[in-house]
Amino acid sequence: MIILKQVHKTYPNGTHALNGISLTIEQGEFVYVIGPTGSGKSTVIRLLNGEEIPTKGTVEVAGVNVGKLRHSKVPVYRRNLGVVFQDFKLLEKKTVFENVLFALEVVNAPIMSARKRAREVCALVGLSDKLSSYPHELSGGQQQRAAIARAIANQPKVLICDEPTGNLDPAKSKEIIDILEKINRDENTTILMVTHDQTLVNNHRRRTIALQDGYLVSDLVAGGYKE
Amino acid sequence: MSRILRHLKEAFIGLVRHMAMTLSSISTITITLLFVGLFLVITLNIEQFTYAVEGSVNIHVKIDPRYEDDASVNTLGVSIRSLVGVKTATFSSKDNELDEMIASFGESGVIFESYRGPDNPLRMAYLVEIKDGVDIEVVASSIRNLEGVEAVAYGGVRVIELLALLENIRQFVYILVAGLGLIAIFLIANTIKLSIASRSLEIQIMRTVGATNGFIRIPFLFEGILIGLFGSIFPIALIAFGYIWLFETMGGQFITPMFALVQPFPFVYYVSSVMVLIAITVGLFGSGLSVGKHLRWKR
Repeated sequence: MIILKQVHKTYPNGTHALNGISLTIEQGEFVYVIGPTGSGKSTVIRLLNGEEIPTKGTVEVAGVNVGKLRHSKVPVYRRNLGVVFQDFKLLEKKTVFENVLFALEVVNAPIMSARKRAREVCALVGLSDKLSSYPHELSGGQQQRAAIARAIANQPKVLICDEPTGNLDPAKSKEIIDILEKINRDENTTILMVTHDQTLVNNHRRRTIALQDGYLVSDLVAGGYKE
Repeated sequence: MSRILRHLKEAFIGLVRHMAMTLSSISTITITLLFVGLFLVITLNIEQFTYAVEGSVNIHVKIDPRYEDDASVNTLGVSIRSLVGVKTATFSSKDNELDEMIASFGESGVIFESYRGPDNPLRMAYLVEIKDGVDIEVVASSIRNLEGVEAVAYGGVRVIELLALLENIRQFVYILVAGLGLIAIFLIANTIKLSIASRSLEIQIMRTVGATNGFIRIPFLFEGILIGLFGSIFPIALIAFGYIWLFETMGGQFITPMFALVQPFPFVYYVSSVMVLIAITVGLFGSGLSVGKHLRWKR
């Protein structure tokens, strides 16, 4: 599903963000990407969603060579991905249901099936009783669940989670990880989760990829966070 | 269809969100279009006047009744044609002069029909056309001194001076319109910039979930077009109804019958559609400027 081959990324300011990263993630895998600030985690996400082009090497997602993609093809490619952010990025003036529907509307999904799908994913994240609540009426965990519902509404092949539990307490974090595991299982969505959260990585053991200074320092299928 | 409605809705929300900027953009468009409308009305009428006047810048030479025999008339024609600055000299018989006179009085001219025949009191005449850039007064006084000339008349000069004045006014309006148009584009660009800024989160989410660039841009372009359209309502109404009123009040002419005003229909439709087109273009250009700058195609 995701294949990185000898990927180098150097930014115009001279920062070597990634130095020869190679890895393969299969369809339906659940993978953690860990590493300190500046290790290249964000660059990996930007390469995957097509925002950046690798300086050397190839990035392939769902059979698409992302770095070679024409600019005009990037938006349609991006429908293969769902992205969950640390700060949720919900629209304050829209309800939970409208926020989810928004993601479907802007890619021109037919309105009836979009509404059906929006209700479906809200149920999946356990927000069926909060459909007409506004984001400020929800707890942090609920907001993040709404954001996850929005990210998976388009049935992406890959769900990228950028520190999804960064703003949440441990109990809420567990809630989120449970939902992600459920999505991984029920919708067979490949999940790539960037995180700092040691406890989480150790309690929910999954394949763990560690980056440091742009190098891949470990790739443990058994999982766990070792210092 | 529902997509277009959605874009329109977003555009309206944007307009309402920055009411002050929207209103200032709309009023600039309004003022610009008022001048555009005036400019069009003046220009097109001047064109019509010029066309009418072109034929009248010539010298009308009345022949003395004592020199009405063929030989004298021919001699006079040869003399006139030999003068410096004369382009053509066309003989006009008494009957012809009467026709012209009847025509110049319009419908009531028929009463002069009784003059026709051997007792026609009008004079034979030569219509003298002069070359461009020649002083009409010099030629006229030369003709006046020829044997067999009773009177010389010419009338186009004042008219030409008047047209030159109107032409100057037109050029002033032209510069004014260009300047105002630029201000309008600038203000619209700023309004759209605010809209884009206040929707940056939405734009980010749309990009993330894979909305196409065109989809993201359309509401902002619509917003610019709407500003243009709203700005065009008042000036179009004013110019259209104003012109119709003016035409009726002045009896379809400007000072003299020679300056016939352009008929209001379909003229006002034509002017209005030009104004709408300009409004849309300015709106689209202003918003396009901002969209191009702040929603630049990035991956």
